[in-house]
Amino acid sequence: MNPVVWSRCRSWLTRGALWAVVLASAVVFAGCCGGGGGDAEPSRWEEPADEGGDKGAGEADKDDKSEKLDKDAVVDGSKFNGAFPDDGTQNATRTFTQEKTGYAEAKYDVDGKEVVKISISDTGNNPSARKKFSSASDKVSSYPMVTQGKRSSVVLVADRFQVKASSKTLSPEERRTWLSQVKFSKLARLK
Amino acid sequence: MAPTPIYKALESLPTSGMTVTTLKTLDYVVPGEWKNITNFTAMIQEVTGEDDQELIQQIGERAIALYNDPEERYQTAMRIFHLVDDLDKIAGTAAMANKVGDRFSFLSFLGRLTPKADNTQAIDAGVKFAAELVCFCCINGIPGDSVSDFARSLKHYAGTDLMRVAAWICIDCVIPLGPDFMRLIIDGIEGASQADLTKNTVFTKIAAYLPGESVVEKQQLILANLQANKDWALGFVADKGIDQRSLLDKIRPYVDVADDNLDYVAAALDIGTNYYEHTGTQTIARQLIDRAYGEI
Repeated sequence: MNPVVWSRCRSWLTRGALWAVVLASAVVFAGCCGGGGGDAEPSRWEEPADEGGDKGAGEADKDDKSEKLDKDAVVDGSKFNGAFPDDGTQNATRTFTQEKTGYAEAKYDVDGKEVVKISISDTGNNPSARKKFSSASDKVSSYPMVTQGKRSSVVLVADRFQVKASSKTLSPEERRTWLSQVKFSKLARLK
Repeated sequence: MAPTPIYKALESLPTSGMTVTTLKTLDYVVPGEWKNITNFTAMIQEVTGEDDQELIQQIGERAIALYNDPEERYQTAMRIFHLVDDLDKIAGTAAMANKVGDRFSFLSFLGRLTPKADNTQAIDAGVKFAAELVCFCCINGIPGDSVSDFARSLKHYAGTDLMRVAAWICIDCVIPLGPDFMRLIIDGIEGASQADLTKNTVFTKIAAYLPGESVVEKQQLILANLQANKDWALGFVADKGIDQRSLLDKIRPYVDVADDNLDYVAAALDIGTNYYEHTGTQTIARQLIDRAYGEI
């Protein structure tokens, strides 16, 4: 081969090899740094998200699809407002924070700091929520009560309305006291 | 088309860049209120205080399902948060690429920075604040034109929500319009003709989501929202000691636009940040998790 041509070929080959190394490095680097992209392993949240729709809320929910109420049958959150503990209960200021179909929530602050959050929901939206009460041994005002996680105490009223007191600071006993301030009879009449 | 699941939307938010730097800088206005949580599991732990993985899984799945239901209007709020930001992704990327040390440099493409006329800026700011009202109603479930409920709730804004409104006051109001910003915004909206509004890019993008049949009705809502919250916003600025000079001192160390011209700084922040979308996504994730925790 002509020495000039050979020299050019060698130069191109060297450049090609260099680019190959650069590209390979870039691929490896992108692989290492693309943690947020989730290429390495599927996210724990992937499955329910990909099922789509409002009916695929996890395994427990799938079992209960037949019990799920139509949207129209679910009680509007505004109807729950009258059942919440009054403003001023235990010197706390009440602020309603959410009001959706089948759900209402209020927080209670003392000196500007949140003490407890009370939520009332129609389990017609999420029937699997009722399952945890089947083993309830405790009661508040004759309604079954369970502790859920570290921060919540929950009551089921009229086998349908779930009332939850959640707090990052209160003890289970203090949460129970808050639950006892809820006007359960008003809720039971909504059924 | 199916929406991007909420956990993906949250987890695709950046952990650095000009939006995050700007929000971190504004921590001095609302200290400790905002944390840049971009992991769905971490957000559940933060909101609920729970660490049991089975419980966290139930909460997350319920939150994802709630978001996926369009009737719940969380997706509407997400669309509005996306639409009001004027992020110019090309300019934003160029500013990132031109980062010199800790500064995002706009020097090489100053031609892309077009300072807005005061009147346009005023109308944009007023419309963006109405977008906050509509998103608040979509997320929390109060009827879409409930100005008085929003005004009451604004006084209790905290965390990510408070940071977003603080950023609106600093970036969209005080920097471009100065201490008299509220009067300028109200005058701008009040004096705007129908043609002015329908030519305004931000208004055009979100008009369909504002309650009211006509442009005039939507204009009245924007105005009523400003009137109802005017005193709160002015009180916030006074309490926090916010002024153009102090903001410029904080922002100039990381935004390079050649000089101290506030219009250019405002334009750079406008095209280089998407704080509504960023904090809005975090707000929606928080509220969904909060509700899911109540419902499971």
